[in-house]
Amino acid sequence: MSILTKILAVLLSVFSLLLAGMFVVFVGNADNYKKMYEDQKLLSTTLQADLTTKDEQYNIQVKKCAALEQQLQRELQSLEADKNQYASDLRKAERLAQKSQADADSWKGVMTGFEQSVRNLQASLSQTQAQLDLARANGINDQKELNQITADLYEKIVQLQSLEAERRRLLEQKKELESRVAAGGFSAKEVIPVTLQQNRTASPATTAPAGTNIKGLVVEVQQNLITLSVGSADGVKENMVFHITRAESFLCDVIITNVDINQCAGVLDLVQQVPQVGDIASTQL
Amino acid sequence: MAKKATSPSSDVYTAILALACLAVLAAAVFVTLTCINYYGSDAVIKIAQASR
Repeated sequence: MSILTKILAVLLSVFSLLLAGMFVVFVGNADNYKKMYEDQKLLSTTLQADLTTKDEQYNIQVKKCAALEQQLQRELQSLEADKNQYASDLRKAERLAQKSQADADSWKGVMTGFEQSVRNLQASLSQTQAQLDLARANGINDQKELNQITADLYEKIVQLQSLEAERRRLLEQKKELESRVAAGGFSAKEVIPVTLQQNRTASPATTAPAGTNIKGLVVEVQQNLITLSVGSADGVKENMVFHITRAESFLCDVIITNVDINQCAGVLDLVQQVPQVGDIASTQL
Repeated sequence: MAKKATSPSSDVYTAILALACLAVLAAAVFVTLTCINYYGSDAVIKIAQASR
């Protein structure tokens, strides 16, 4: 063989080895695309099945959602209707409240007027009451004065009666004396001076019958006149003597001059202390 | 013509060429087996058909 042939043979061998090595390396590092394809296909099939299942579930869920939406729509409509109803009820209630408030305000004004009128009436009533009290006080004072005057009048009448009796007695004595003088049987020495009795009642005071004790209270005390709480209904009579006491101490006597049904009046006698209203009066000590 | 005598140097080149052939053959076998293993025995025929 020539040298060139040897060289070419060697080069061919070398490059063949090199090329074979490169092929071996390339094929050894290459991927198994068929296996990869099958794996991916299997994965795709699995995913497709999952997708189908998910689609079915999605459809079911969509149907459920649609049904739920319809139900919610119905409920929403019913709630809207209820809301409208409640809104109308609220408006009605607000109108009623406004009307009631207006009525209340009007009644409040009326009540204020009534209150004012009641206050005025109360003021006028108080004034009238004060006037009435004043009139009553005046009436009581007048009654007291009347009683006093009446008692004084009775006292004067009694005095007058006693004086009249005394005058009659004196007239009788005078007549008797005149008759005696006329008969000519008396001298001046036998003339008996006549003295008038003092201002006392003509008839002696009478006491209560034995065994009866009339008790009463002093109702009114004036200058010389006392009013007691017992009268003819309790057995009181004119010229009866009552003993006024206070806490077992004697104050004075009262000689009855005027008798009423439930009360009596008399003059003071044997005054030790001035009696007061509420002191005890009795016919027996 | 007289028969040429063989020499040791020609044996070396023969060996080299044989080695190269063996290497190429081994590579081809490796590639073929790998292809068959990856893609099946039909793949080699399809490759041959596809190359046409």
